[in-house]
Amino acid sequence: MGADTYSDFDAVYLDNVTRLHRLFFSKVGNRPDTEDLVAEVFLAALRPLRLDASRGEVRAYLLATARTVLAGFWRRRLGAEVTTIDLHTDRAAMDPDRPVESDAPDRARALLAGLPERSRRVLELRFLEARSLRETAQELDVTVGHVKVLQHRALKMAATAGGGWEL
Amino acid sequence: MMRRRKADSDRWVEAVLQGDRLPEGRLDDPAAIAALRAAIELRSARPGADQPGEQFVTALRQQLAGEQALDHPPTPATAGRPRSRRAVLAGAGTVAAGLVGALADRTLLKGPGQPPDDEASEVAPNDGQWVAVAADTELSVGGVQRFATPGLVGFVSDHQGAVSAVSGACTHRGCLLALDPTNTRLDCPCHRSSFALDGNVIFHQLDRAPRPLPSIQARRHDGHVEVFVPKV
Repeated sequence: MGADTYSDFDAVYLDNVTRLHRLFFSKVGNRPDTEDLVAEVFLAALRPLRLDASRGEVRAYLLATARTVLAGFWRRRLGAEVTTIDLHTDRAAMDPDRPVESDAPDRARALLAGLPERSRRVLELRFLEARSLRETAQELDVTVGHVKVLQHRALKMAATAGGGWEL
Repeated sequence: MMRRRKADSDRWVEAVLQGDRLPEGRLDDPAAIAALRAAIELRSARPGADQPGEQFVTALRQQLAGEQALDHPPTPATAGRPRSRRAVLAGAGTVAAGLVGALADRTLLKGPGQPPDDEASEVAPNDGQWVAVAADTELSVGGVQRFATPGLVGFVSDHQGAVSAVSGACTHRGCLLALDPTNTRLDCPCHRSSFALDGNVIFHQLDRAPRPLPSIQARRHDGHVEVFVPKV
């Protein structure tokens, strides 16, 4: 890893911005909210952070800040903590020795694995392949209304059958 | 608003599919929350979805550099000197508590040990005059309004029918304070210190608490709200 500390805040930022973006996107699922949350973490960390801390300590601090920021986001937005950051399990997301590739596809595969064929397919088309309702209806040879019903049901199934939520 | 027919996640799932900000609202059905969680998980697996945009990374980088420049203006004495390397983090205990804890701790810890170097003071110019800054009716009960005269800027507020005013310049470096959207706080754009409408510090991230904002005499007179400011 070379030096065990960051030379300046810019180095902290460049080394962690992608990981934090990934982490928040996996928690809120859209880009505008993700970008706000990432900015909030770095702005909050800018002053309290001392640069003679080790890289590991800096990352732990960023993760702890991210957890608080995410909790505040859900409280304000929905009044319910839909997702949380766990300081132990999510620590891997900030680990520099881990490849930079996203592991979101693996988690999605796990989520879809236990579903019946048609439910799995509708979620794949809509969420992973960005197909519209109409395109999905054509692909599955059903009505648009039916796609909505299928999607709604399939999500509920994925939510309960997935079981991977302590990830 | 709290009691819509049945909490359903469809609205939020749709936002996730569209890549939009999540709408505000209330979601309390655990099954609906779990469905939204699954939608978020699936959506983030779309190829490239969770990769940050180049423009965003660059813009935030510049913003952070700007924030730092405000903190450490290059002066002959400090130019070229690396940032101070004293304490490791804001304090080990605050790390786990996260941001909110960190802010609170910093303010509280510095309170008793290092009292601000000046108690609240009053502007009280030697050569002053009463100047109307708002019509009486413009400042409702509990209201607050910014004013600017040639001699100073400030905020006049009403508290249960009594008017008072404070300076609108931060006591740290003199940046002009802004009223926050809830009309309860005056925020400094430079170092994020924040003052109550009575001038007391609510929070700060400085090494030493800034002084409270000086007060300015204010009164209701002849259908106007007036403040006592220097003649210029």
